[in-house]
Amino acid sequence: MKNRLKEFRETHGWSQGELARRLGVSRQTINAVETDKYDPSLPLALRMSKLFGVPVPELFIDDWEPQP
Amino acid sequence: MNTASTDLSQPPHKGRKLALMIGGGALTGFFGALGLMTLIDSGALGSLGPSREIALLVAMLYAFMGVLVGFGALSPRLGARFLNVQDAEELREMKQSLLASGIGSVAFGGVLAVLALTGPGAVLAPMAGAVAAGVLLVIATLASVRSMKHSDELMRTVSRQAGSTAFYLVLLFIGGWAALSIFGFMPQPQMIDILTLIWAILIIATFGVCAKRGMLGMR
Repeated sequence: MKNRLKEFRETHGWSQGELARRLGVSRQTINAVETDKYDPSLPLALRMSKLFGVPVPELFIDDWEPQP
Repeated sequence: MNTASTDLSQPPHKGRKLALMIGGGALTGFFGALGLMTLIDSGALGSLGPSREIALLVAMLYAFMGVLVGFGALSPRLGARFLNVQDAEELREMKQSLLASGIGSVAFGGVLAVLALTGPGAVLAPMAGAVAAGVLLVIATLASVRSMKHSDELMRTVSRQAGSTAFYLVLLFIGGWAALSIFGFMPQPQMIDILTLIWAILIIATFGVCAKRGMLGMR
C-alpha cells in the first residue's frame, strides 16, 4: 500500500531513526514502510496518525471504493 | 592519509559494500568449507559419510551467520561495513536483538553439528551427544525468545511468515522425499538427512521471505 510517511517525516525534519524512536519501532521498520515493503499493523498506523496529527487515510493511500 | 577511508562510522559506498559482502562471504564460505572438509578427511571427526558431512556444512553456515551478526552487534562501526544496515547507529539500536539472534544461530547450528558428530563412527557417544545437543537447544531457545522480545512488529511478521513458509517447504521436500522413497524412486533418507533439510529449509524460508519483501536490497 502506498503511503506518505516519508513526506510527513521530512516535513517535521525528522530522520528515520528519530521517527522510529518516537514510534517505538526499529529504523528498519520505518524504512520498510516508506519503501512500500511493509504495511504496518493497525496500532502502529494509528500511532503514526496521532504523531503527525492527520487521519490514517491521509497517511496511507488506498484506491478501493465501496460499491454503490 | 585519506580520512574518509578510515572513518569507520561512515558506511562504505553501496557498491563497495555489496562487493565486500558477496566477496567476503564467498571467500569465507570457501575457506570455511575447505577447512571443514580437510578436518573431515583427516579422520579427526571419525568416519562420517556424505550425510553427516552435509549436516556439518549446514551447521557451519549457521555458526558463520551467527558470528557475523553477533560481531556486528558488538562492534557496530565494523559491522556496518558488512551487514545490510544504513549505519552503525542502526546496529546500536538493534544490539540486544542482534546479539541474542547471533548467539541463537550459533547454538542452533551447534545442535546440528552435535547430531552429525554423534553415533556409530563419529566422535561423540550418544549420551554425551544428547546432553550437548540438549544444552545447546536450551541456549538457542532462550536466545530466540530474548531476540523476539527485543524485536519489533516487522521482524515478528517476517519470523511468522518464515515459519509458515518453512512448514510448506518441509511438506514439499521431506514429504516428497518420503513419498518418492516409498515408491522406490529414491533411497530412504537417514535421520540426519531429515534434520539437515529442516535446518536448511529454515534458512531458505527466512531469506525467501526477506527477498519477497524486497528486504535483501542494499540499504
